[in-house]
Amino acid sequence: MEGERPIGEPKGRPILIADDDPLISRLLATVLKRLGRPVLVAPDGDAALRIVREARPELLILDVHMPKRTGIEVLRTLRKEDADPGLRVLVLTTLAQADSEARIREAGADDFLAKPVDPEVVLEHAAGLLGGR
Amino acid sequence: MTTGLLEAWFRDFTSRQGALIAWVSVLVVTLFVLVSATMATLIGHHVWTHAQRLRRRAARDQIVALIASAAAEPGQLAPAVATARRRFGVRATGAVLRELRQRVRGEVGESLTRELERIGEVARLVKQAGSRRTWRRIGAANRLGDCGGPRAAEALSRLMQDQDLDVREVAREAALLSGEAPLVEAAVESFLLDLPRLGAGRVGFYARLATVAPEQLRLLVANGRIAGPEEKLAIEALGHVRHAAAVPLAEERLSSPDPELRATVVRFLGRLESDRLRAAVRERLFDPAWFVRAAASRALETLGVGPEEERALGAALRDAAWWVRANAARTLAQHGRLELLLDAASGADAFASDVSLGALAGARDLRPAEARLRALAEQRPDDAVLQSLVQRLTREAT
Repeated sequence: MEGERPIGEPKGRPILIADDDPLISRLLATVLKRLGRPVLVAPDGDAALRIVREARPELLILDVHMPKRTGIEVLRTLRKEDADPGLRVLVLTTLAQADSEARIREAGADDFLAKPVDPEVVLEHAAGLLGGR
Repeated sequence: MTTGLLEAWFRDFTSRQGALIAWVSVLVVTLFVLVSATMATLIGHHVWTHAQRLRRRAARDQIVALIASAAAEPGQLAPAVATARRRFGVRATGAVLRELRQRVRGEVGESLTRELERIGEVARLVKQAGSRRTWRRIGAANRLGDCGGPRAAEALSRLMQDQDLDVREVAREAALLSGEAPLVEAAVESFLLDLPRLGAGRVGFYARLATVAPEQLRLLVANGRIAGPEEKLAIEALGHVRHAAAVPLAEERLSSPDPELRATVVRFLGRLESDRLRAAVRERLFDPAWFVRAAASRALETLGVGPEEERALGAALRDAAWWVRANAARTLAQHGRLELLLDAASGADAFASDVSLGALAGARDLRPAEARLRALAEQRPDDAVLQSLVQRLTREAT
């Protein structure tokens, strides 16, 4: 599956982008490659869960609206399983959902950004989450 | 003689029948040809449009692959756009650039706007915005909001003053979605001018404005630029996005003579999850209008229940209005205040007893009420709700 192919050179634990919008996932993958990590892409919630279990990424960039399983459901499942407590999660929401910060944080997100996004801001937040370990 | 006449009649009849059969045959064949031709045309059209759709989708995927990655790399976007334009045409390339521009802000967004201007997509839409046909201007309004940049903004501002109300509405929606402050302001001014002519679309506008620029919406209310039903819709929309800066404005309206406005404000405050607002909402449990009391008893579910709220909600269990009793019971149950519900359930007031038992069924943990519930169930063996609560306790215990 194309979406699961590493886009960057594999150095360290990867970053996973879970978003069904190929425009955003490709754009963010290109930007996040600058962090020197391999970048993986999941096109839906089920694929995101599977890749997290198999590839053990260090950072998950998670869209809320996805087919098969929403971002919040993915997040709750991952936090419930507690398979990797070190996994950092940055949630991307639409402006209309930005008010539900408490709900997103309660589900286990470390950070969140409202769409439309500035890719440079996503890069800063991702670097912050990876650097703050 | 007779035989001759019969023979003549028979010859005449068979020749006429032959002509009839021939006409019917011609008609059947013509119908068959027409139906077959129509079927073939329909099938051909379906196959052709399906193939077109697949081709367009494949082209879009390839443009996405070219542009989305290049947009993030300085200096890579212009060559990628040139390649996409050469291979797939300016319309398809422009559509993908707009889609991406709609999703992205910052420097990358600005570089996408520059490309949209460079390939002539903005100029094409600006021209379309001046069309005499309404549907073409609506199409332009829809797309110009995605482009960004001053030229698109100027054209969109003009469309917000269009002669046609539908065009103005679409242009306002596009302006709000763009999120750019001058366009949002222009959309608000255009909306206020159209307000007397607008129907249900007002709710959507307030909701969108509350999401994109809640402070602008708050100022509309605070400066008295909207009043009456509009003020309520605006406060409702601000509540949905939990705009805390609107709390002072909302609190001022808690003592409004309009009970619907008071109820709206109570619902707004109930969405903010702030302990400070509890007292103000608690007072509304004694409001003369039943729907304000109902809203207040529901709002306390989010705001929390202290000793004073508990007492007030206990009194609300005996309210004359069913909604007030039901909401008060639900709030008490959600906050684990089971004693008050048990008092009401065992009291003489049948209405209060019913809502209390119903709310107890929704409580997360019934164990603190177990002894009293079992005793009550023994006194009322025919009460189905009570018996089911006892069964639940027994099930949970095992």
